[in-house]
Amino acid sequence: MAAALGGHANDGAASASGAAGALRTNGPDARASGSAPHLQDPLLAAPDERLVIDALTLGTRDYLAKTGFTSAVLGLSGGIDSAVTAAIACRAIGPANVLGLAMPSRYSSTHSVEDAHDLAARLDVRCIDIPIAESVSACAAALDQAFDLLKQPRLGASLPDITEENLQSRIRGLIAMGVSNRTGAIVLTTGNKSELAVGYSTLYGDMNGGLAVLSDVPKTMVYRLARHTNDHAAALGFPRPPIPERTITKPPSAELRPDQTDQDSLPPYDVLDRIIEGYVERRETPHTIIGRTGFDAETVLRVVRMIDIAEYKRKQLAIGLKVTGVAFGQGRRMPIAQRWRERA
Amino acid sequence: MRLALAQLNPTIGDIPANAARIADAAAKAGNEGADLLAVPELAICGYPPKDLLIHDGFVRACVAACDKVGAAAPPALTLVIGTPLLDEHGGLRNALLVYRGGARIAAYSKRLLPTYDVFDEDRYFEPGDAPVVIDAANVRVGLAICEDLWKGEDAGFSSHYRSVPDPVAELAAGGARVLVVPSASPFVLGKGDATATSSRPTRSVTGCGSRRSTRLAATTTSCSTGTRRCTGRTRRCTRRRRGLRSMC
Repeated sequence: MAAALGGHANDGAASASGAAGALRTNGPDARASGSAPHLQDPLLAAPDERLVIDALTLGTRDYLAKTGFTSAVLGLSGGIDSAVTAAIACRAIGPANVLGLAMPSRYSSTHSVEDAHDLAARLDVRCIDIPIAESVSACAAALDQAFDLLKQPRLGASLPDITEENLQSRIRGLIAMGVSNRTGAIVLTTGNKSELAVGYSTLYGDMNGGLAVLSDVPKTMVYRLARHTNDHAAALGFPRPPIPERTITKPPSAELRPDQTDQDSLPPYDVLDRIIEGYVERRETPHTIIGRTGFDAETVLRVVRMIDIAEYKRKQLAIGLKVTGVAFGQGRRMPIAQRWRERA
Repeated sequence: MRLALAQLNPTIGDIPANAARIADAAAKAGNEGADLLAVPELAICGYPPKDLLIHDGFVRACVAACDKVGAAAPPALTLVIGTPLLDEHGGLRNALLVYRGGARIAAYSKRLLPTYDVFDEDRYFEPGDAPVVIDAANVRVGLAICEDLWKGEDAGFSSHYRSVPDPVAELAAGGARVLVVPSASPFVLGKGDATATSSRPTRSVTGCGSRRSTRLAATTTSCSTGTRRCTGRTRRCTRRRRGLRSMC
């Protein structure tokens, strides 16, 4: 009951679209509107979270099997996206075939590495530490040489800017790809639909990978999947609740500069996800979204603009598993070099 | 008959700027005494607009911009603009709107919708089902769009259209003596040679009239990578006894 882009793992579209219908509504009434009681299939009576977890598990398992991969590697940040991705990978191919990489930088908090190892222990997944501070310094020195010649400010001249933030992400991407080359494991990329929608991601960094497991799962749904996974661990085949409580409760952060949180750059995820749902899935105008949600026009227009201009990034994303009505990729084909802008 | 072809370089979705380009070309064509101006397929929005076509308001904005340009164009000029268009049932068409004297005088819907290679038109458009022949400067002018003329032959996809009527044959049967064929086909190495030597269009318009008929395919192309820019130009149409004259 997963449907993957590119037709690689398409098995039982009816079940997948049941999950998709559920995701159309992100509000508290999602369960009611998303269930399909008129169908007798007991699977479809399962909670939305279970349907999505099963769809992602089957999609991951099928994609790897059909493309010849038997193992997977992914970065474990201590955050919720990599935790849920790792749990799905374990269900798909077994924990012995999953390798976690903890790659802390100088901006990673202690709890992030702890949470990554806690997750790995709960999943029975091997996790190795590869601190990236020295690699970042070496690359920064090379870049500073270039910047000197170009009469540009050196890295670290002020707070870490976008150049330095991306450097960390790209070194992690490079290490993951190197491990993939040597071991033959596929890199699973962990970005969720919300951050990919607005371009809160690094090309050739955290977007590196062979399969984007959560690319069609909004962040609010990622949280629901995490909770459901812990609450129903045994039913999902886990010996214990796999996701550390702190991973679920701490404020989401890319940890690419001191004290950064996602909400420095983005509206709260429950707001963001409803705007994305309106604009991407329902293909609504900002005017309609504002009228339906009551969100302020400035926020809606800003998010829509971010979605528009991040198209070039999404075009370079690894293929992903589809679980909503409209997934990025084949489901939403937008020109990149274009100037149509939605106005309220 | 004096024909003007505007080889424009639209930016996808930049409707005001694209409309201004068409308006400039119309003014220039009028000044140079052209009877008819053709601009590329979907020139008002740029090609390919992809899923912008299914966003609320996009098609309405395109058509409104066409109407505005058409209303302000030189009144004696027959202006043919490529635009997406909603039909009376809400179906989307890849269309030509024809303006003269400040008003819309005709609309044509592309009949053969390429859906192969880089083309994805079945995803968005419904095919037209009727030929449209207009009168301009006392000449019967048949309207077609890109694939209507090539029928997939240049790309090896002619089998897609085996079971549908040939738009060019129906234009010929409708008395067309000149074909105006806006297009937005991407550059392909060797395509110029292939289209110049294609025998299909010549055969198709053989029934178009006597040997003295004017046979002309006015094809305006748009390089979809947008790197090539030609400015509007006008060209005197000469009588030819054999074959089509391509004015790409």
